[in-house]
Amino acid sequence: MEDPIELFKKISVVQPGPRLYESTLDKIQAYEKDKLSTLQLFTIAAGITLLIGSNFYVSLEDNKFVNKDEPSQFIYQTDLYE
Amino acid sequence: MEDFEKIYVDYSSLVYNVALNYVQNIQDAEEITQDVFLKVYHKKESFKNNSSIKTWVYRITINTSIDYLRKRNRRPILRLLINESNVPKHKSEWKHPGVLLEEKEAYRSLFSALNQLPIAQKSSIILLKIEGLSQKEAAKVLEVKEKALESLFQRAKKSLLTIIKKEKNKKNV
Repeated sequence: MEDPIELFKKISVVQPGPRLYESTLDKIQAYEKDKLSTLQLFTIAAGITLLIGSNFYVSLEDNKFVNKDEPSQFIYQTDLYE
Repeated sequence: MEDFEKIYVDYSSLVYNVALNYVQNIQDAEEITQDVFLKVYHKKESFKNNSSIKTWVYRITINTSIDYLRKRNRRPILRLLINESNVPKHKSEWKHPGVLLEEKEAYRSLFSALNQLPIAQKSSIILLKIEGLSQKEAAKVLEVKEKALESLFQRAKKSLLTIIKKEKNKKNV
């Protein structure tokens, strides 16, 4: 009886169908399109982060001008109910 | 793109046949071939000449085939979770065009035994026996030492023969 391992050597080489190249290119193009939309998504996310970040920065900067040692005017107003 | 076309012309047959030997199904082998060339297209700039392009293509093909098989084996659970009828069934679709019709059954049981081996052992048989690579070439592709490949292959051969024997005994009972 023939060695079963040797049977593997008899398997013929098969040529892929001619349309496989086209479908491979289609897949590459589809992937590129998907990648573009990922890039767009990333840009939008970056924009939102930048907006939130800049708002935060502005609010921090605003706080710098408030003198915390100086009591608010409200405390000195004793005549509120007069 | 010209580079890519040349790589495709030179290696599409290699990729397709290796994939066929892993999955034994035309549709799956075509899908794997597409995925391999998608990877080749995106990675060709980063390809370093440490190994030959043939070895590089072999590695991508083997890794893609293994990933594909893992995903395919996960599908039965998916079938239970979603709707069984919506997920394509694969197990019965054994179709290897490199095998003569009159020898189909013999090869089907041979591949059935091959599919039961651990993936590294299966790869050693595919590269050494079906692809006909030298031990040196196959060791390079699998990134192991030649001696390690030799012992891997011997274990694969032994396990394969044991599985075939068991299957035969089952049939005879």
